[in-house]
Amino acid sequence: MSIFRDLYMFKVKVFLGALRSSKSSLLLIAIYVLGLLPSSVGMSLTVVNLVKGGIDLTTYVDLFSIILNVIFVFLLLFSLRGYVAYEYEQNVIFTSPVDPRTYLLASLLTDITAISIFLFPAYLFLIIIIVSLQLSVLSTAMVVTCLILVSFFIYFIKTSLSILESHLQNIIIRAIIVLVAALLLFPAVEYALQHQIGYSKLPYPSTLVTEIVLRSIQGSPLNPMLIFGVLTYFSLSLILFLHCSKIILFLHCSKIDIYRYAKPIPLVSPFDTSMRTQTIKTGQNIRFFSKVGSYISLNIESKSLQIFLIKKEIVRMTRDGSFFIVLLFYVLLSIISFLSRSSEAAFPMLLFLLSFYAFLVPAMLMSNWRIVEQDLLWIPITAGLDFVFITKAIMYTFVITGFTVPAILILILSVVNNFEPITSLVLVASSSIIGSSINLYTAMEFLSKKRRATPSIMISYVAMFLSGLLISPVYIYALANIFLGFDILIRIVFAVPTLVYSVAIYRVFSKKIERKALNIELS
Amino acid sequence: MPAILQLVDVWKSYDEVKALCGLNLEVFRGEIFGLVGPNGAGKTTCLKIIVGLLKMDKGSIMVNGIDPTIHPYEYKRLIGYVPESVSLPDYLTVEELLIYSGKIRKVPNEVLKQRIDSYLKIFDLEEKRKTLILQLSRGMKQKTAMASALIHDPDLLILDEPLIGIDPAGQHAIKQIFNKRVEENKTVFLSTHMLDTAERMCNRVAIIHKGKNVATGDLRHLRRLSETGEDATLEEVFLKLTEETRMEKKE
Repeated sequence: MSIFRDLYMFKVKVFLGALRSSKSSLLLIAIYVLGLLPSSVGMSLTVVNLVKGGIDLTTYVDLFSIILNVIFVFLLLFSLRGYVAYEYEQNVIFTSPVDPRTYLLASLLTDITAISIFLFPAYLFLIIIIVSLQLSVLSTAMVVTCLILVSFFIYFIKTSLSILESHLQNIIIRAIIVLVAALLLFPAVEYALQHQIGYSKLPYPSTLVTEIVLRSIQGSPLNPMLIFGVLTYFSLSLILFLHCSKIILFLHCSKIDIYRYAKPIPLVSPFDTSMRTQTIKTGQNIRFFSKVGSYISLNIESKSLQIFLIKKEIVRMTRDGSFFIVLLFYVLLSIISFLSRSSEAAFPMLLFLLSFYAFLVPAMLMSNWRIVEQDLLWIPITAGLDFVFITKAIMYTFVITGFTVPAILILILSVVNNFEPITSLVLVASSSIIGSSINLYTAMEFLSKKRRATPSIMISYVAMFLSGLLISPVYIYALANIFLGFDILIRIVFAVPTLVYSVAIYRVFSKKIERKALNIELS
Repeated sequence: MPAILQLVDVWKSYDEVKALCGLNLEVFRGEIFGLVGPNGAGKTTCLKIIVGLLKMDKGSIMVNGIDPTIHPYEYKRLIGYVPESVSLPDYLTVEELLIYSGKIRKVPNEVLKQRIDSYLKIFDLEEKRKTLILQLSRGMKQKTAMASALIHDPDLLILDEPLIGIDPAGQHAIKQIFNKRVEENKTVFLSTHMLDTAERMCNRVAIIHKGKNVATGDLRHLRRLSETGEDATLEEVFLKLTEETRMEKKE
């Protein structure tokens, strides 16, 4: 028992290690809390208002089931990797005489602890619903029990399939995992395309759970079959989990322990902003994105050195995932903006919102550049290359990416909606021009010996703040166009000084960057 | 004989800590020169100042008569450098890194092609030509870095602990390259704490201790200087000389 307790305490301490070691991790936690608490309050109040106004049970069972199943499938697909263990576990625990079952139980308890800590916005969400709707003790117990049971259900299934995958290592178990994932998502896809079946008509675990939860909140009578169904699913998952534990026990008894099957993965603690963690993540990104990015490669033929260096930056951005992040950012932003617009009249505002966030893109790109390239600067510095070539290549690439991706999106949306996009294009162009130069300047400023240890995320905040300040005249131009309704000629006339202003800022900071580049020291 | 590298009264400190205290060095063309010293003696700082990664507080450096403060780019083009803990762009393939290294040193395309083929063969990296650096072992990364440092055929090759992490076959290839460079009247300047390596590979060594050059010369000269006898190894010479310096400081 004491080994189990020590192991559990050790794993929790390692998991939360980042929180104890860095102030910037605490800053990230503060952002997490400040970011999620308003959402929790907002979402819970929306649910409370919906329930008070009377909800259509079928629609909401479908909706919540989709969310639950997407989460389930996301976690389930991790089982395809087999049973995994952190590198530190392989080095410290697996080399000591710890019984695999003790290790597995300690892992289970650690995961529960970790999830419980980081799901705290969900507690607030639940508490507001329970208090606002004045739920009875029985209904509250029913809601909480159901949520706990479904969490354990997902955990048991995922862990069991991982163990089976590692133990059997054949295509059948992988096919089963994919099949289960497809079955779980099928109603969601069908619902989106034809809107006929939906989860509410099928006895899926998610359907039963969401129906119990919603009925309990609503105060509607519960069908005992629902409770029986949830308990059955939970029991089956528990039996499967215990059976898989037996496999581990059997393997242990027969001197072939589970440790042999566990694939090592690097530990990335939540809110860990250290360079080590960022490097691990970048390594994972490169492994993944280089399969796609290998179609763009560096070749010897480039005649201009500047173009060659720009191409090298593009290769990096494709292979380390930077380019994908920008694409994902704009796709998500478009979806959110598109879904949240109330009428056709809101279209100019939609385009404004889409271009408003353009200043974030150079910050995202620069953050990745710092992580990937900071330790590689010795190559150009010792090569006798004028560092201005490098800084220009970075800035040109960032301006091109920061402008092209949103501009294409804005042009498509404008053509579809028959709307003139000049204001948004100017805003996007200015944001990328100003943002790129300021972000690079900030990065160079933090390359100095005393500031090199500053976490990347802090540097991004400084750069975003500076960019936001200097882009504000461009925002004023854009908002004036929207609210004062200038005609196209005046918009174009005002666009010229706006762009000139952006280029002027770019030039001022380029000069500062060049001066900084001459004095870079890498210890 | 003209010196390819000359350091005169070089000083460097990090905050309160003095890393180099008036270091003087002269390295000649066509030799393999070793910089040896205990941990914290200032070897890496010295190398980083020579290649332009650090700035010295005081003193002067010349490579082939070129002053880096006046002609920094011409100066650096004479040098090839491999650091101790090599970080390379994981997202590039071995071939792409060599292209990048050649391009930023303005090596003509035709020459670059030939040198890439040649060094991939010498370092036994031909099969890894299209492999991402991320997927290479530590030894292979070291060999790739070495090929990258040689791609512009520098007059002065500077290496910080060059043989660490390289397999015996790789070490043999590196030694052959060093010897070939010496035949071509080029210079290899390496720092190492592995005294047997320095003894086997270098024509001359400089022993630095606490940021100062304690002694420079070939093994015979150093034996005489340290009065350790004709059969003394470099390790014995080194221990004697650094011990003496320590004693002098105490007195």
